Amino acid sequence: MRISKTNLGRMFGAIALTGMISGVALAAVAPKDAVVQRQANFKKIGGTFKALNDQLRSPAPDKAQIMVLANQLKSLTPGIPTWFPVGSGVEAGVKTAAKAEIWQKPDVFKGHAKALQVETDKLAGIAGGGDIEAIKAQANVVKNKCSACHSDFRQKDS
Amino acid sequence: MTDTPAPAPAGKRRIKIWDVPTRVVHWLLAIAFGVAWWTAEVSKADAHMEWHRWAGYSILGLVVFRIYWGLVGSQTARFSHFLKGPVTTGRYFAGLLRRDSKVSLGHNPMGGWSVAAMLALIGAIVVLGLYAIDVDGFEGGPLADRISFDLAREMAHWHHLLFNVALGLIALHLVAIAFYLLVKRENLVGAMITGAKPNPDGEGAPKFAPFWRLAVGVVVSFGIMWFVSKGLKF
Repeated sequence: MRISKTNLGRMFGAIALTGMISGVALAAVAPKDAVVQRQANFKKIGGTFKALNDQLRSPAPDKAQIMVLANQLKSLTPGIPTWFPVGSGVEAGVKTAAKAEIWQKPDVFKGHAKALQVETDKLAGIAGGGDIEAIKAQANVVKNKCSACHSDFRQKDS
Repeated sequence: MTDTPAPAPAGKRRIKIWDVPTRVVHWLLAIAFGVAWWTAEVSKADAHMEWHRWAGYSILGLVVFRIYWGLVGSQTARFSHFLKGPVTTGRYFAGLLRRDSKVSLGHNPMGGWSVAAMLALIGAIVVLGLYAIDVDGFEGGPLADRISFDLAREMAHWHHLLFNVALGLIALHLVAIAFYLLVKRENLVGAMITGAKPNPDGEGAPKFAPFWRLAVGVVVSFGIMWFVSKGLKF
């Protein structure tokens, strides 16, 4: 990012407004960059979830790897609500599947994110137990939490 | 032979052109393609992804069989019979609107290339689908576990893109059929159902492959289909 004096001022203003807990970095980021960063983050989630499912469906699942992946998911999902700063919808000018409803119904949206976070926490706990069938069942719950939000807040994709 | 209707005007004698395997494969392919389309594009229910996969495996088996049949099957089903060079194909295209252009025994030169294009395209779609994963990293093909999420997503995009190209080709296929029916008074759909076509030029009947070749092809196709559905693992 290019940092000019006006930009710098805006950045400090934004930081002061949003505080220390969430979105310290994102709030100051241009909407375009926020979309790019968000997509990279969601790809990280998708990639982690795919790797986890690959393990769960393999004839010889690697339990240690499953634990690592489940914990990675657990650490990624709490960030979701901070990845959608106002202005990072289609109006940002980059291709995004994020629907305007995200900012129109922020409480519903955040409720979905929270539900996912709760279930990925559980997943990490169950993964620690090493019972493949139980982990599979919980991965399915997590999948349904992903879909629940996607069906209302994400543009249909191929 | 039941395929020969009783009195036909002179020079309009109907003879059997398409054998049963060629016809059955054609119609099963059309059905499986429809099921694959519906389970992916219309119904977004997750439960239908299992159906989508099975539609894909069926298409794979049919394409494998059709390629096999194109190499060792009955005369009119063989690539060597219907894939003509650019000169012959061009001349056929140029003469398309002439009233006296002759009825081909089997595929005409343009139809032949359309068969090849369709098989290649549908084969490519199926192979891409084997490696594809959905945006959530959950539902995918049986070989998606061998590649990264990003690459599997690329596969899914190409899977979808080539599907749209196939829709275009199918539309062209249907337009061509309508053209032959309305302009050239040649009923290609009927021929693909009954297997028989009028034979104005009095060419000899095509040669048909023996049953054992069909049996071998069916076993091989099912074997490949099953092996792929298991993710290439025993």
